[in-house]
Amino acid sequence: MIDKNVPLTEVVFYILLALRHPNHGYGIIQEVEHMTDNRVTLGAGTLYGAIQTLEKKQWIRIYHVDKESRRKKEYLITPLGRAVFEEERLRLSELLKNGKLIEEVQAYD
Amino acid sequence: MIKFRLYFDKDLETEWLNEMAAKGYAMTGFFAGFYMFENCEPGKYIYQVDLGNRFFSVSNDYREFMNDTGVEIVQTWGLWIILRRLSSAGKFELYTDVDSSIAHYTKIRRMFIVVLAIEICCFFIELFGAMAGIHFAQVFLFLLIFIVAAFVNIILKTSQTIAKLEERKGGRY
Repeated sequence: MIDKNVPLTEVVFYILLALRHPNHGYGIIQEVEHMTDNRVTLGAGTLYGAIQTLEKKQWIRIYHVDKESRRKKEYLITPLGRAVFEEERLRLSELLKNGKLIEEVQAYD
Repeated sequence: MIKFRLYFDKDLETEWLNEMAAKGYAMTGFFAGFYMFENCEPGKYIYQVDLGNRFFSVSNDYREFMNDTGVEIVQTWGLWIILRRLSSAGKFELYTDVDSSIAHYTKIRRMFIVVLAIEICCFFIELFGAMAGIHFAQVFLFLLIFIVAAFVNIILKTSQTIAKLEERKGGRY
């Protein structure tokens, strides 16, 4: 079976990670920038599109809508989203583990 | 201040709006090629142009999301949405990765192709009219040739933009 879920794009990876706890759009942008030392910045259009897609895939869900304070919408990762994230984490750790093989120094030159 | 401009290329339009804002003119409205400007502190805003899914409006979802991230919807026109954010809030970009940029320009190209198809239909209607000797049809026919040419041009340009993005994506191996 061809698994289409992984690899995740960097954007999806970090959005799912930022939604391990309830978070709103601006919070996601800030957290991802902080975690990556400003390497990964999420443009408003990029994040909006990704949230729409992830919600449709049911990897994330609306957690809370605050109707009073500017109607901020908070999102949260779903169990399905966690499963996909875990799958990606396994793939990445395999990469890291196998990547270490490059340290086997041999005199081939 | 009001300025008249016809932009087919949203990147050039964005560039111009930001140049105007840098000079102290903040765009506040648009109607059929006429851009309205108000005085502002030079460089107060950063403008961006997006393509939405609705005519002359945006979904509540989109509006709320943009407001949450400090983005103001200045004007909707057709499917186009003109947005701005205070430059004090930092860099303002809409599409920051290759995948979403490709999706954005592909959507733009699709819209232009649909409009072009409609124009070509109009072209043939006017052509029959012109051949039947209707005067205004002949004038319209002439006008349509220019419009069709402009759209073909922007479709080709958008395709080039997409191809460059695909190349960047394909380069990651």
